[in-house]
Amino acid sequence: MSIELNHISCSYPGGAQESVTVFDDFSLHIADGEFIGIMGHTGCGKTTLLQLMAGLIAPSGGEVLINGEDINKAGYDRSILRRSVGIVFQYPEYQLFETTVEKDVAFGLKHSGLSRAEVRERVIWALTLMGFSYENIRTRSPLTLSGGEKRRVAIAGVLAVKPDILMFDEPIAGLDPQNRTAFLELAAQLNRQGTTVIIVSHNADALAESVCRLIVMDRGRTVMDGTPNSVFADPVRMQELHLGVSTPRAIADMLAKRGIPIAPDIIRYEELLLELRMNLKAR
Amino acid sequence: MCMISGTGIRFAYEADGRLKRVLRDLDIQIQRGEFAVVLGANGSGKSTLVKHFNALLPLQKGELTVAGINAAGRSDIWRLRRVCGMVFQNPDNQFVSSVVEEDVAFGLENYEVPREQIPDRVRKALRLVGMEGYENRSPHSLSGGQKQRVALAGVLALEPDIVILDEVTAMLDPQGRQEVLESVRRLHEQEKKTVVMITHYIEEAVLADRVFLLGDGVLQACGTPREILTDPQLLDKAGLTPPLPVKIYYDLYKTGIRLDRIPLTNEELVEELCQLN
Repeated sequence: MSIELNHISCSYPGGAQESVTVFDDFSLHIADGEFIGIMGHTGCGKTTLLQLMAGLIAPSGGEVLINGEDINKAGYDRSILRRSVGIVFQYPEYQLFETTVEKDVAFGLKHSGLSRAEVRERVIWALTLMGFSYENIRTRSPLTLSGGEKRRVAIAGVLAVKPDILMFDEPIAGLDPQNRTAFLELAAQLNRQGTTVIIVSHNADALAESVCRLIVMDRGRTVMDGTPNSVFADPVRMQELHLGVSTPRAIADMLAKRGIPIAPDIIRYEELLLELRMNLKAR
Repeated sequence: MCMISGTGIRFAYEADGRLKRVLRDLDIQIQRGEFAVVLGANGSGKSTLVKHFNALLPLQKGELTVAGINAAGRSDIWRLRRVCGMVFQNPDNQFVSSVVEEDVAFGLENYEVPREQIPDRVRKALRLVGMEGYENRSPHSLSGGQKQRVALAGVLALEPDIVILDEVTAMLDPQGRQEVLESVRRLHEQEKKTVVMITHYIEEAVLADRVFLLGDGVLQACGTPREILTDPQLLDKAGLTPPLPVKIYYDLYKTGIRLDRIPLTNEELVEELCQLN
């Protein structure tokens, strides 16, 4: 499903102080089936953007279209939105609340019209995708899980609904390397099957390895938008924005500064390794 | 001298009528003034372990002495928490006040530090983390890195011997991470605090005096960052991957390209590669 934000303005009431404007005439188009990463300094509006796209907040001006339909228009059937857009928040412990993992993962399917057997099948599917053994985890209380396990259960709960658009706010924070890799592979797999995937993250390495389009935001504006290779090709600009480039990119830059000839568009581990091999063998 | 000394620490809880063992007779010793980094896969017991150090979790079995205090003794619990402070992952839910300086003073008031001493202690703590000038700000108006440094100041105001950091950089952007790590380095090097830091960023472990590798509820290994981080088999067994420069070293090695030594940091890797030139 496609997402279109047209001329959005959005601000938060500031209490006694002035209100804070997050967006003023902000537009963004995301086509059906894209795999997108969003980076930006704390406070640039990333989380607000996700909330707008998921219809959790309404803009004060402009429109949010999902599949061409204005989701904030009177008469729009919001149940479509809830089924088609899944969002995993920054702190998964905030979205776990049921007494068992099974109930928690099944919660989003409550009014889906699925039979009990179908719901159970979905729960097993989602938990297995997130690397759990259904039998071992299903009766555990979410509160007894470790930080990384909570995050994976929260993701399973959103996957179970099989939304067309998946949004993740900082999904790999607190995950160990194997779970990090597994999550990114899963996101890529769901994307290949047609899901539009949007990942907000500070982790340049993870975004370099996964997404096809990288959007960099600063103070409510899009300041860079392109392939990860093109965005990370400008480390100086990224530094100005207080953001990092991927580690392979950073190493390639350090080598280039030392006079070692190296391709300027390296951003992934395998690319760096291949380049080093060819470079070192040639000598 | 030992700052934290634990033997046979066991922790289990019941889930669905089955006993889930998290720590299995774990032994650990952390020296006074040491910067210890704890690594381990999700669910390996890292957080459970460090929560014993200031009695957030009561000791079920084993022995644990922290700064000379018996962590099993319930009567010493408040003294223990004063000498052993802790900062958590989420920068947003550690604040009790809407003003930075009041938030930092909260612990001091609880411990009935004389009123006239409080402003000085608060100022000193904020200076340590590079947050002087933010006294009257609302914590919620700060960036993630600034919030974590204010949380750290709240702990430092109590002048603890030990500071425990449970994934404090996980939610931060690169700049925020740098700010927090710089504060941590300063309180280790200048203030001589014993620091115990849990992290999933393996490159942060390079900063440690010693790395403690947890797996299956026991200490799998401990040693210098070089000893632990350059051993891919050991890390793999614990469900972790080595830092990128170490990976590069071994992947080049496989194709017959040998660097003189195993680089731990990006800078070391670049040096090694330049020497091949």
